Amino acid sequence: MINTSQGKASAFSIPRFEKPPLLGWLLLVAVLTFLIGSFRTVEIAPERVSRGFSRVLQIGREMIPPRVDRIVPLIQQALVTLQIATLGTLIGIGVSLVAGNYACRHVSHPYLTASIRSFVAIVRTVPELIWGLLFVACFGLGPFAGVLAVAADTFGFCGRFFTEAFDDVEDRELEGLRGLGATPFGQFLALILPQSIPNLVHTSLFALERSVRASIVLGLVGAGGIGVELDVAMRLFRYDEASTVMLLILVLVLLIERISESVRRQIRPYSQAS
Amino acid sequence: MSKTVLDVSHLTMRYENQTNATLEDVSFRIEPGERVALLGANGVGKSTLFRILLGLLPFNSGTIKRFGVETVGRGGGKVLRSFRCQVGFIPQNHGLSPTLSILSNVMHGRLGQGNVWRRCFQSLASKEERDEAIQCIRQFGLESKALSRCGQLSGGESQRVTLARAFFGRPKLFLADEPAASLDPSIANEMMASLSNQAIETKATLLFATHNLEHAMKFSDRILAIGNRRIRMDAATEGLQMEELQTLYD
Repeated sequence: MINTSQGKASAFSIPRFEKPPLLGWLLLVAVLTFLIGSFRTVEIAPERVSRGFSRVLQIGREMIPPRVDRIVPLIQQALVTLQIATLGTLIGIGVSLVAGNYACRHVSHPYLTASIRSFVAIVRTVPELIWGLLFVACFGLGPFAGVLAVAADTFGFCGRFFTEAFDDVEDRELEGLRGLGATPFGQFLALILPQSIPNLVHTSLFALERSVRASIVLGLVGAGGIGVELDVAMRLFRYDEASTVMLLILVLVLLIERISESVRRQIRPYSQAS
Repeated sequence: MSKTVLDVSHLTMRYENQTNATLEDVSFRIEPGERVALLGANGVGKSTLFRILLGLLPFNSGTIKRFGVETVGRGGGKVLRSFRCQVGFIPQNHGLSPTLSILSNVMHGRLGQGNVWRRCFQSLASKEERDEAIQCIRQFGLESKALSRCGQLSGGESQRVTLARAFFGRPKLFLADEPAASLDPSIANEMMASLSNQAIETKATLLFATHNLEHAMKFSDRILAIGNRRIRMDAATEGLQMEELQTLYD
């Protein structure tokens, strides 16, 4: 039987609020000071907000109706963005698969595993925009720099998740193949890779969605695609053309999301089987 | 004269986190063509012994000669791998690839014997090898499901695929760790008979762990039993009584 009186007594004995120690107060003051400082740095002022809001309305009015006289070159640039994203993602996935094999703890030497994982971690810490700037500086303006930037970004992302998926395979499961004389690569190809495929497909589709968004932004730093068109339209105050570009971007992103959702549905039975 | 298949001498093995040894001063020899049953209660180290014999686990002291060649501890690289290529290993947990077909999984029986790509995926294999693999699958009545994914199979069916995979490798030695554990009595009997017959027909050696004393009596020429970390019994099956075997579990 439950002793309710005892339950009540123990509930009341829990202190409702404990006075923080001096260090806690100091930390609170530091955080508040930082926040107040941030407000002052970004210069948030009511008159700026109201002025900006009226400008938003004005730009909004200028955006409607979207200008369609350059729709064909804009669609071509949207396709270029899609090509940058797709090619960059494929290269990134390919490199991640190779790196994942060597970074897999089941079939690789611990030193090699640690080195590759560290390299992937370093690549991952660099945002795609920085990769874009770097590759534009090295290889010049245009889609090639964009493809390399997307590939580097995808490698940082997929490299980590692929390795984790490979590591999820249990060592005991591999013993059956090891006991039959399979080489490390044979074990990878026959069991680790097939068992990880549902995970790899999910990660790759997510990477593709990220890459499409990234390749749009990369256009702003001169790495080709529809981002360049958006940058030019905004700089020349051609908001009606900018709205056309934005609509195309919306269609592109939604299209990729739909395709990836449909592929995910197709591989769901495989995920359940594994 | 054929070399001794396994020559284990004064083998001692202790897991890192344990104070007592799992196996201590274990010695035995297995000659070509012998069918040996390995008995012992749960946790006495039967699976550990299998893993040591395959070079999947290191051991602390003693020697193991596999087909007359000694490799110490884990590793041994090519020598150990070439030994494993001659083994039809049937592990307790099947170790099948759930997203691949039965046929591909059976092809993995020769994964260590040449072109990796051709042995990984049935669609890349040669016609002869595919036919041979299908023949092995047919032996276990699974040919209608040859292209089904292993993840969809029952425990018993998975065990049959593991046996078919071992047969496909044309091994000189079958190492079967409780091959009939997940099967119902009649199918278990059938599987053990298949394994034993295959060993006899191909003149292969068979070492199988089991808790089923009837299987041990029926399908072996010799019985090895582990108890209290050591070999407790090493005797020819002929002449042994069931009661004597039952004392191993008391």
